[in-house]
Amino acid sequence: MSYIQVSIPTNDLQLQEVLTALLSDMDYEGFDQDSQQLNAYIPTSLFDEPSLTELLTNFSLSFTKSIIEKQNWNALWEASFEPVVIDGVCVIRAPFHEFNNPSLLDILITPKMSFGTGHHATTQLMATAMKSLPVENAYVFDFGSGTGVLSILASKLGAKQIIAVDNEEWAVENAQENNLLNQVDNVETILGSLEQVSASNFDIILANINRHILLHYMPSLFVKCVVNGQLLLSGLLLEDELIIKESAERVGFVYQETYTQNNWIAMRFSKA
Amino acid sequence: MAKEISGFVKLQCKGGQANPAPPIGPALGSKGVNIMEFCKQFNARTQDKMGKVLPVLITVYSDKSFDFVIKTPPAAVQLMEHAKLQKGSKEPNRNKVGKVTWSQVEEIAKDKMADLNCFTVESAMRMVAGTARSMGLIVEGNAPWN
Repeated sequence: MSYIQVSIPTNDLQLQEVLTALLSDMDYEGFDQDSQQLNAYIPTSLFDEPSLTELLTNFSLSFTKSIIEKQNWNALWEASFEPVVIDGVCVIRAPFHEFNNPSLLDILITPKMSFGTGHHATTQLMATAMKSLPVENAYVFDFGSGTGVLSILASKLGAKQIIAVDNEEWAVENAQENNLLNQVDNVETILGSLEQVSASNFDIILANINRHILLHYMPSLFVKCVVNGQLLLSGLLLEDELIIKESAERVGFVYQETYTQNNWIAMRFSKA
Repeated sequence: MAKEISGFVKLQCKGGQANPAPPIGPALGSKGVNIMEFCKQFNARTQDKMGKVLPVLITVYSDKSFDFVIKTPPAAVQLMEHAKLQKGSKEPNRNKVGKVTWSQVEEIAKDKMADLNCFTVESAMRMVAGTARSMGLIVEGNAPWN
């Protein structure tokens, strides 16, 4: 997805602030500024030039616009990141790293601006927790799959089939590339959200997203889980634990365990 | 020993909605920071302010790690929220689209005093009221100092 950068020359900092508030209501997603101009950023598909012109005319302001094509902004970091060893479970590495620990599962990831390289505490917590789940022959759902790292791990832990879903087009493309790279053929990655997944008989549900999304979809996750199934959640901070526990229990899940690393947690529930 | 700072990045992005697109992507990516790590942290820490514009100051270290500080929303954003506006006025000088009270102006002024470089609540309130008028909001009633 390409973006448009709109640059509005004004050295009036108060006016820059007013414009930031007004433009944020017109679908502009982000801003940066200096003493001479305000820059605002919007997906090209949402850019409405007549409305912008009308707004700025009232402040006697002009603007210039430039298109910023979609590209991998994370390429610099991705070109030199360190492999991650998750104790007793796996090594997550790029193809340019050597693999020299055959006692662990080997997972190859070229992230291309998607989440899930193993560097974040939540991926490590999920991977560690998955090791103790009955993944073998399980039907697994990976909600918010990013690079596909957890799907690939589930496959290598012996899952029967994995359905993965992500609402970012580049993440779905990337997950499919990573599935190929790891030679796993039992992962199906779908573009969309929970609504695009028709199956509802998952033995294990993995969701490393955030509190807001998990709370919203908790009732649907319960429907998608089989009796005696397991739900593993992360993307959560310590302060989210209570509200997630209450929400999961309200729909019928039974709390089992919380895993903690730094300020991040993963939580495991079961369906009785 | 303290880590060596390689630079600062100052942006404004919406709570809970950071993604690796401009302006975050180019600003952090060019410094070799893992953008996805920043987005995950920022979104988790700002879920209670979903969709609100938040200034964020990111400190990037020479080892490509980072810290960031999230400030409260700009006064103009808070004013729009108090006025319960769906959209700001496109003709702020002629078309007044909402109202705020002086007590709301005072609340915002106290919240943003440090950022406004004001030494008294009154001077901060005058600035916030000026911002309100310039975006098409009426400040109801008389100013407390009148």
